[in-house]
Amino acid sequence: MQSVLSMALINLNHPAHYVGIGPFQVSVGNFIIILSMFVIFALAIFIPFPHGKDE
Amino acid sequence: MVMKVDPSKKWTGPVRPYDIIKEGVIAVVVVGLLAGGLSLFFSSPDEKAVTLKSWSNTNAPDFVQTATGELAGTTTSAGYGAPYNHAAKGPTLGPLKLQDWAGVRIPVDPANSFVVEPLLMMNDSTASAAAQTWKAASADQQGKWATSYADALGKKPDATSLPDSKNEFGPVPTMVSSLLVMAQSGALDGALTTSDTPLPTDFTKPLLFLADSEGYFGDLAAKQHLGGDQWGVMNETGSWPGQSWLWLFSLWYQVEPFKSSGNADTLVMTLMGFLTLCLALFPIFPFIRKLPYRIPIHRLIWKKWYARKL
Repeated sequence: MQSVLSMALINLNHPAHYVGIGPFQVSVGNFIIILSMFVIFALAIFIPFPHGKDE
Repeated sequence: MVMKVDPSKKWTGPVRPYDIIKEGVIAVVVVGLLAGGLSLFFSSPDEKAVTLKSWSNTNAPDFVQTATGELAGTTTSAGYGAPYNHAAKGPTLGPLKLQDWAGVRIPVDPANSFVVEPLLMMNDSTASAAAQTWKAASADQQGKWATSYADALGKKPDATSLPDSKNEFGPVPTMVSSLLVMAQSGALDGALTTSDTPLPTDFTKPLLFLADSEGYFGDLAAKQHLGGDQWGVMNETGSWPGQSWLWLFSLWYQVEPFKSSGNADTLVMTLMGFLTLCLALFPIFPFIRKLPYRIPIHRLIWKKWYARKL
């Protein structure tokens, strides 16, 4: 039971994959996080505030 | 055009309500839910601790060679310098001997701390007698014994013990073999973590000893892409994302002249300090401070205001 509860739904406990060109190398996990930050930044700019109005 | 503002005059432009408490609560709740939700899906790294016991049981020949190197004074920690010993000046920045000036604050003599003292604590008369013989010998004699044994082990990299047919190794084979037995039982981890404190909270000595390993500790790090030349500062064990915000620190270690420099840490920290200073002085650089006019991202963020102005 303990081991079932401690298991994650998505198992990341295995060797990582890496992408990169030349001296630049980044793990897929880090790459996804960096892309997500850009996406969230873009969404924050283009999605309007729910009740945002200037006075 | 630069807009000049008189700080003594009250702002007469548009204003908007802002509730910092509400925003703080929302931020804490959202981040808390995200952290809890993501940990449910992905869990978190839980790498098994690397110990002297795991090292000695996984790669006994490497442990034996490293322990002999500690006695011979040829390991990294033996020649590290401050804060552990006076063996080297360490990284410098021009005439500034930064590491040396910091002083020896955590004295560690690898031969005594990692090998001799633990053996004297071991409840084994053969090991204690060998350690006493070592202590009674001159530094020159100790060096000859340890260097001869290190050279012999170097010719047989898979060996954990070698016979002393020419009587040139002194007590070293007995000391190193006894230390291997001690490490494989886990007793050496306890001895080194409690040598300076009653509670096993000081990992300085076992970590230094482990870091001297050439065939185990470094390999473990390399397999997990944690080496300095593998962008290791950014990486995490397994496939979890790591510290991606350290990309700029990590970048310099991948390119020359930092990559091959023995002084890389000092050079990188100095460069990053300089770049951080440049960032702080952003508004005073003539070309740089005009960048927002050329790349007007702020107009996207405040698009309503700029749309109203037009």
